[in-house]
Amino acid sequence: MEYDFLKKLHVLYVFAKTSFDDHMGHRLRLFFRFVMCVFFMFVFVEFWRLIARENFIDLPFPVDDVCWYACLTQMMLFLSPRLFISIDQDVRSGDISYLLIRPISYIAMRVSEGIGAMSANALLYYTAGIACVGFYIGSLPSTGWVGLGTALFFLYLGSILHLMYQAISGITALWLQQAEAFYRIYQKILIVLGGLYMPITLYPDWLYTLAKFTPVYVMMYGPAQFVLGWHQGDSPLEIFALLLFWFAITIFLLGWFYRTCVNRLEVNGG
Amino acid sequence: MDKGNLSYLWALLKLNMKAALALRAAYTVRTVFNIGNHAIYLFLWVVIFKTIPSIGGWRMEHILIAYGLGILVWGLLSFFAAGLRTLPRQIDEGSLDVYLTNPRPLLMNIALGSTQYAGPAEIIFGLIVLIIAGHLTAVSIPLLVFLGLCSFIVFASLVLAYGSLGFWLKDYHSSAEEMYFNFFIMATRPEAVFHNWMGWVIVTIMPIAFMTHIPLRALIDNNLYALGLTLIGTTLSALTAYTVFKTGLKRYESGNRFGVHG
Repeated sequence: MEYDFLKKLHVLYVFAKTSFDDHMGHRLRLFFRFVMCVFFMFVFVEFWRLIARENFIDLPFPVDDVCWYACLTQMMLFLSPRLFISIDQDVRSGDISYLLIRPISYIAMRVSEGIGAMSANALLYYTAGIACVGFYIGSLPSTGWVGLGTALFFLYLGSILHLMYQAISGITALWLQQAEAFYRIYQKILIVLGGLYMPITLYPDWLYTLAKFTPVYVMMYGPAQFVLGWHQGDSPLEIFALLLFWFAITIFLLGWFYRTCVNRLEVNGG
Repeated sequence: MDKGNLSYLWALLKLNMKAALALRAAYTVRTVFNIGNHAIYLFLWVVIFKTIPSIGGWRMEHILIAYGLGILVWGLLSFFAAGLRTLPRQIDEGSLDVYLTNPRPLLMNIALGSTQYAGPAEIIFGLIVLIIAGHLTAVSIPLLVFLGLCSFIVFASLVLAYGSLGFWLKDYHSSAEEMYFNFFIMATRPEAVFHNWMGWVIVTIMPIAFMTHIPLRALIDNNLYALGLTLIGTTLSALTAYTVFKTGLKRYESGNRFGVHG
């Protein structure tokens, strides 16, 4: 049984590796998306520099740190491939019926592929992307390389969680005939409660508390806060524990939702 | 456009409306989700402006107009020209072959070849946001309608130009979709954020300034110079997009499904 599990794990690794190679192979596409991401990160830097210049509020963090924070949260959005579109396409084209009869879980396969493509992105964004941001901002965050490295490590884990929610959004195509509607809602919740535009500690208390009790907290703000200073929020251990908690909940939710939708498909047809 | 093309256009529109209403329950759920999606984003700006009273001279009413215009043009594009959004996929799948043999205008066929069901809801929501913003700022309604049309042309041109890159880039669809969405998001950011070299980017290779920023100046400040700039920007965006599309199409025409990408 253990052998069987390891074998399946190996198959999933092969899917991830294939996706990684495929993603790296499309250099022009990778580069194009990277340029867009860098531009959006620079826009965020200017956004915060403008706010700091206008001096309407007293920022509780150095402006360069907030710029780093905003760049990392923006990078998180670009890091993962749009998995929900692949699933949506499988549903709409009917290809899902061929993929479901394979001896490997369809959803695990797609998530593995997503992790593979995301790793290819991470390779580029964590090197060239960080170099571009560092060059543009002109300094490291106040927590230095350690803070930045910690943030990047947790952003990667948070992005895997994000892929799972993308998979959930993708499966909704079996129910709504289109995955985008659900994904957009989820994405906006991620943007608002995750703290894409500003650190959630600047939100009103009730909204900050609400954000803390959602999985998006550990996808975006949780990891990126490590560039805002060590004494600002949760410790790495706390974020790690929270991530484990949300992984457990999300895997259960994804499995349950996937089985429900597939059962519906098998009973009622596509 | 001759009478035949107009009636063909009307027939395609009717077909799209019928398709949208075919699955009513799913349509209703998706509509609710879409409205919720935009409402959440607007709520974010409410939170931001509660914390920061003004960003580069922009206040909530500026965001409302920019976002209202953004949603309106996104909805118009999704409903009346969703085919432009799916152009990279159509290129990849070789689906343009069908349209190339059709005697009707190619771009019209591509644009109206498919529809996104969320379109009507987004158009209505965009209009509601604009009405609220218009009430707050007392802008001229005919000017708002006219600039809304310009915004639509600019956004459709952006989508066509960047979608046409699919003639050169393989498997580009999902990246293109992400880009369109980001254009929309960028267009709703305060103009002052894009200063120095960024200001040039948003009026040249990514002309989102002509979609919201400059029309907004024309609307709120009754700035004639901004109105003129919007008209010039709209015309140039449309011409550039059409040129990129035509250039790409030549490449497509000289290939086939397996050979287009070399």
